[in-house]
Amino acid sequence: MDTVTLTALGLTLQVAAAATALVLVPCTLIAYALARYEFRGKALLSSLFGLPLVLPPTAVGYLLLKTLGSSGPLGPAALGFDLGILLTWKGAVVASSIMASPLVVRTARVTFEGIDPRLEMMARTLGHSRSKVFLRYTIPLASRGLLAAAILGFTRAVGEFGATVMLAGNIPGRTQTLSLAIYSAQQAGNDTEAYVLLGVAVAVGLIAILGSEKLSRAPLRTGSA
Amino acid sequence: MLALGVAAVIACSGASSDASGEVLVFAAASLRDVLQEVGTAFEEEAGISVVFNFAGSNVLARQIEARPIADVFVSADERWMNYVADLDMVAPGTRTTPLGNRLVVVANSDSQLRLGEVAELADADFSFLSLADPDAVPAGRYAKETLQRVRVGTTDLWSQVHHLVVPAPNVRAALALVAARLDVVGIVYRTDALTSPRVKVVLDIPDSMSPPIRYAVAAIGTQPTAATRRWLEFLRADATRETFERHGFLTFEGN
Repeated sequence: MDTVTLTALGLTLQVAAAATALVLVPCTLIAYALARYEFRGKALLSSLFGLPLVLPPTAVGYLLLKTLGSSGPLGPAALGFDLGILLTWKGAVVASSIMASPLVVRTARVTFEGIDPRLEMMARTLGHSRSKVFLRYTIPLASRGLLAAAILGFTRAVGEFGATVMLAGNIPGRTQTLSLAIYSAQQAGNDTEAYVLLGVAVAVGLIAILGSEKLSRAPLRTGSA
Repeated sequence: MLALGVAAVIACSGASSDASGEVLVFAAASLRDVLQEVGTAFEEEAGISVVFNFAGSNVLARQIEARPIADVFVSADERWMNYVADLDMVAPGTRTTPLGNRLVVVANSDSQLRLGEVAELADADFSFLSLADPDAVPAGRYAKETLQRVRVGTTDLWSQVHHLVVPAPNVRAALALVAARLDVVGIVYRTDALTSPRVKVVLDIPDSMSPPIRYAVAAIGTQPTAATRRWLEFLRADATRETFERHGFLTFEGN
């Protein structure tokens, strides 16, 4: 593999891992809140986290670009300092995180909804606090679904294109992820490079699928209870 | 949701990427091959690394507008450099116009197409006209203006062929489409045509028929770094000018 492909692969994995790590905990908590509680603005919160799934990625990208851009509400003029996100790999992380979060929230929410709330109530009667029940019982029971959520989020982040190209640009060696590199190679008529990148993308996808299947067949951890 | 993502990224953004021995150059896609060669020579001579971001000049100008991290902008026309200059993002006194180019009509190397003059495009046998986006990308704008100047009957050549146009995000993408298909004719820079063995020049468009094709170079920001100034000097060096000419570019001295 040439250096363009290697750096694109490394950057893609780095961005997807960072995005997954970034969204997993907050999205899990939000999913739990949506699955278990009734509160004001629940429908709004739920739709907000579903929005990136139905919007064109370029629409999300443009919105983020305007928000973080020089005169945006989170831009250097408004904040007094530069967040250093646009046109860097962090821009790709922000874009992928937002595009991946609906999948993580949805998968985690379905998982929590599938866990009988009476199990949690029983644990509460043993005198455990709410947070202890969540960490010691709910999370282990949900672990498989949460793993699936993380893998879905990761693979969505790996393939992200539209929002990433707007936020991070397409700078080889800096912000050019696999999906951007394939596009550039095709546009430039560089078929050899495009084929290599395609092969790498397929390999990454297969590894993710095989890995997730293997993990989902592993014995279910039920915590120390 | 956005705030969440942004907040967490700020938390891990302690490490700055502001390497002093490096120049980040945003350059028009048509300069890809020649600037990579110039960049390698510069790195060997100065020991300063150059990182390139090649795209349509319109894309680059908009990226600079969003966040001016580029050290140097090389636009394929004056208009996109003016756009950046109007945003007060060009370092004063650094702007020059050292390079020029010409347009050519290209076809696939296996194509039988022959043209005696540009106006014959109106009746020529092809399905698509591959151009860099004529509404935004310099190469496409030059091509459009050229075709608008050619009279065909009661109208101009552009209105005869514009329904066949396939707009590409940059001139190299327009070239790649011509290389890939037999029924496509393209208008690109002469220097682009020279980079692809699968494309042949069908017709050289004379300078007098096209608007002047000039590349604008400038440092971005208020105070260019020493590395940036070194790179700008290197671009003006005699050896570099020879490299540009060898790749088919026109060079202009003194500015």
